[in-house]
Amino acid sequence: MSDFNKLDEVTRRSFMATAARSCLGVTIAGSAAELFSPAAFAADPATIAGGGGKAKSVIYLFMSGGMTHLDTFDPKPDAPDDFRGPTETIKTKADGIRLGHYMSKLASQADKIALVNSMTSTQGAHGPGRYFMRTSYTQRASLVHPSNGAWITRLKARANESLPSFVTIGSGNGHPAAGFFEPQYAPLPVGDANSGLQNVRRLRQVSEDQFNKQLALRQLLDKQFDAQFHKGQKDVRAYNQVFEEAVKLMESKDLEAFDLKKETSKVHSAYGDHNFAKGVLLARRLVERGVRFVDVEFGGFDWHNDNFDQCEQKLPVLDQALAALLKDLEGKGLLESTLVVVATEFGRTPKIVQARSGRNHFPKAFSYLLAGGGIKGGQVYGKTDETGSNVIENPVGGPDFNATIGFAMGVPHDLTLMSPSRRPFQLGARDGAPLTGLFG
Amino acid sequence: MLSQPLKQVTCAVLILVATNLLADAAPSKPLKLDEILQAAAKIDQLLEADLKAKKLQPLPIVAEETFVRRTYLNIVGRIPTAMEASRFLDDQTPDKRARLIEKLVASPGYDSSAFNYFADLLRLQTNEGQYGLGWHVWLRNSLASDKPWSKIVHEMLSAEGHTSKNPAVGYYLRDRGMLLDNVSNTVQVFLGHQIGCAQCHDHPFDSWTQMEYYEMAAFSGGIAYRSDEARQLVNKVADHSRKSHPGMNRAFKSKNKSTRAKARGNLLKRISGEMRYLLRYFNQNEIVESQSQQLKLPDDYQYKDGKPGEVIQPATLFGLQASEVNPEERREVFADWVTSDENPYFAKVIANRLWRRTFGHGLVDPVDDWSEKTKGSHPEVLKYIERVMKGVGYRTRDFERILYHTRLFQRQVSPVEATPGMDYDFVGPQLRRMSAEELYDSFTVLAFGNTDDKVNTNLEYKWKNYQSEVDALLNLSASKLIESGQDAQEMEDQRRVYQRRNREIQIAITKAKAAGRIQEERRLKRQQTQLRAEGRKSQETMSGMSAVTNRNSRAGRAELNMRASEHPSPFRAGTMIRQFGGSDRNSPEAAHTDATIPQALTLLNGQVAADTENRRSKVFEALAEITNPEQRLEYLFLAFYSSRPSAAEKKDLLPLAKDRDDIFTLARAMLTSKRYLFVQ
Repeated sequence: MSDFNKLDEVTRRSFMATAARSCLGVTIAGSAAELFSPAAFAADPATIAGGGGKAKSVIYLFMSGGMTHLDTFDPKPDAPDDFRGPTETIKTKADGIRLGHYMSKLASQADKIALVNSMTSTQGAHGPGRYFMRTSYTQRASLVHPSNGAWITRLKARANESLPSFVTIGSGNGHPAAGFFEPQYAPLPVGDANSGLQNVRRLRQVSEDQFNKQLALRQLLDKQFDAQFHKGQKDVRAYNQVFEEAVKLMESKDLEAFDLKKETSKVHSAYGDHNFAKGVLLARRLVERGVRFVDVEFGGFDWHNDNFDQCEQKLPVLDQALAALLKDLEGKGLLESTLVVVATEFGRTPKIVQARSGRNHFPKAFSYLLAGGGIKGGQVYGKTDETGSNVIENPVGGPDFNATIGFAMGVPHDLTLMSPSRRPFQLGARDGAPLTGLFG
Repeated sequence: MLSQPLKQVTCAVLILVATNLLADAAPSKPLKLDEILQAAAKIDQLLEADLKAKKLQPLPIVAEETFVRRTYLNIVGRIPTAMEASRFLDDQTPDKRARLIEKLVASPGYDSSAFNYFADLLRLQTNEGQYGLGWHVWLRNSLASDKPWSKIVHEMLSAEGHTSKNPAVGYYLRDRGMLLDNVSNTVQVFLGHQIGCAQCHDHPFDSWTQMEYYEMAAFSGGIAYRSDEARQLVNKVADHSRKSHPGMNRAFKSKNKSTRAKARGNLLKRISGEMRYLLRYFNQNEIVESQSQQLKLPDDYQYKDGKPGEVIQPATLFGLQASEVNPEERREVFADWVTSDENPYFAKVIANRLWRRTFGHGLVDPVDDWSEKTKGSHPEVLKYIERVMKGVGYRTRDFERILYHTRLFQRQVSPVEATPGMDYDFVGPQLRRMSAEELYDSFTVLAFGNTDDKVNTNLEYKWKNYQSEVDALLNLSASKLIESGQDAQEMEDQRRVYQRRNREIQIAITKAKAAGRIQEERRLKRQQTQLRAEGRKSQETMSGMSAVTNRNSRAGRAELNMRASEHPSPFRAGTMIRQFGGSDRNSPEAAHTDATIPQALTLLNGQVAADTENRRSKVFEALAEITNPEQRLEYLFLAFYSSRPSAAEKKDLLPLAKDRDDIFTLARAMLTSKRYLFVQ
């Protein structure tokens, strides 16, 4: 057995060396690494002066399928019937903010939120739309751009050694994740918040000793494979990375973050029973422990048919979870350091398709919501016309929005990082400008 | 099969040079091996000439161990069993590689693997409505019976009617109410063009205008998501009621036209209401081609070449043009245009897609963003495989068979990954991680051995059952229809009561649990179990029409030892298949092989790791049976890697094979190794 152990030591050391070399990132090598370490990206004084840099974490709630802006954040009480449908406009705690009547709980938290009612995009299909809003770039065949969460992970120092900085909950297959960044910036995907993170404990029949032996054997078995492929194949490096992270997680004292049973039934019932609500609750538990970016996806907003029935069923789920989150964060003193975002790929056609009471895709105008993380509540930014069909004031694009997330987190949205093909990219693309006016 | 309205335009006709190998008429039987080998040799010759011109060396031919593993994984989508691997390694005949390819291509494992690929490409969802199941069974059978790709696509694009009669309508029903999205996907999947942007505005990079998009979509402008069959049933009942109610008959015979119309309208409305629960899901499984319905420009159309709301006549994007298309022929013409030999992209696109499926990178990459200027990395090879695709009559099995017999398929994988979207020299295939289904099926091999021939007959059974129930429904007498309508209504009422009670109990359980009232919680749970049993029982008593009145087919689950293709799909989020990147079937080819931490945790601590020591697993059985440490070690290497341990590996690992705990530790380590997870 001693032979084996010796061999193992050597493999492990040489393996760690290779892994370390490969983890330095796409364009950075050797001593230049320190220059680009997250510590070097400390918030710029101008950002701080402008009210940015207060957020330590982001909870990014993505309404997948294209959320109707007319029935949620940008209701049009004076529009004709065939635009408005049965949706009513309600007043909120904040003077300037009106919401669709499905959002009554959020109405009582409206002093914490800022709405952006002038979102606009050119991406009218789901996949490309989501991709654009998350990455600031239109889809290309030759590379995958990193998502906003990966940028934040890259630019903001890790706050918890054993929990990954970036977690996605319930996200679909098309998530751009780390894009062309190295695997260490990839999210930890949680499929179902209720069941949390599975398989984090050693099998009962496996002793710690046997487990460690197993890890060492794995490296031994792959010695030749790594020699052949580690350098040239990113997928191979990614598997070295995830096994390392997985073992770290298994030893983490913060694993209980994933266990929603630790919350009282009062908290559970405040957020709601829906899976999405559990995802939002999990997101709160994660940011409490320093996770930087949690992307929670709520699917099924593509209401070509029966828009208003769907509103009745689905929007209260969002309303309850979101309102509970804001209240909860406030109670825990985390609201100021947590930026909450409600995002989607596009809006819906203001004019109702009568035959099926539906609304189709509408990238020309839609709405986003921001709260916490230094955002001044109770305000609306941008404006659409009287039917919600055209942006008539302060248009905001996906890159602007991602730049705003960067501003809140105190990381440079315009810092250029190179792709492996040596092309320059930024969190807010080339022209993204943060909405600094939202901060106070 | 080209119908009249399509006419040839200059340079759209591709001249097919018939060779000895590829005869004019597409063969209906598999090609002979020497024909296959000739075509494969031609591909190699072209590729190797290109490499020579670039002063590059192709990579060496792989050793037998790598070949056998790669061949099983690529062709039948799973690792070989230890026995299959050793049998191949010990075979001394010189043509054993070719024979293995021939055997596997004709085996049921190929059908299973091909189904996974095409289901992902077509975004198939088994449990959507009843049409999902029908479409699933139809696609599975179409592929297994070697139906040509052109025919599969033609049947889907021209499909109409009820799913029970023509399950290919699943392709349109899948995108119910989202016709424009369906059109974008059709063009992307079958013709390799991304015109989605032009749905809302002129395409910023390509030349497609919004007008051209609408002209293309206008071929499908007659699709109406409703059921004529259901309407006939309502009429049948209405006529019956009229006859049996003399009072009503008076209104119908009134001299006043509007009184008559009103009476009929009221009657139909009432009958529709009464039959609502019997027909509501039946209704949703049919599309009708409405001759009067035409596609119009959107309300916010902003270009000068048309006005908002203007009716658009169908026109093709490229190749043959269509003129004066009869409304009832619109989709037939469209399907002809897409799948014809004259279409400049149809054959090339599928040939290139399957090329990538085999070698890991397209000759044209990406595979779905072609333009007029696209030539690909190897124009000669591309031209040739397009000819081959037409020559084999779009039978994808024979096409892939040719690719498997190339020398390229036998070369070592490139140590450096090709950049997606960039040209690749094809010095060898690309290294790849096993697909989620391949991983799943390989675990199945480790636990149960070869189960390629285990077909989930539940799916077919459920589908046949649905079809016969629909038949029965259509043949019911008017009075029986009324009765069934009432039954369905009753069922619905019962279901609501059941749901309400179930919800109430669930809430009470949660409350009791939170308050720590264990006794009460237990009592409530017993109540719930009883309620559920009663619910099931009452469902069963509604005999005869249960499949018709159900929203979904809830297709029969597969057994544990069956392969991924035998399960309803997509797999639910959170299942192992989805965790490893299996498709959610929301967009074409949504499957991926990205590494994630939960995957690592599953391999380290999950069920698959525990199963190595499951007494019923094949690996466990073998290790329990074999006492000789050397043979044990050899068995493990064959089972996981399809190879025997090298001298150095033997030296390092033999001590472990002597100890019961250690040997399972080694097995689990193998399960997590990249050598296992990747296909070389």
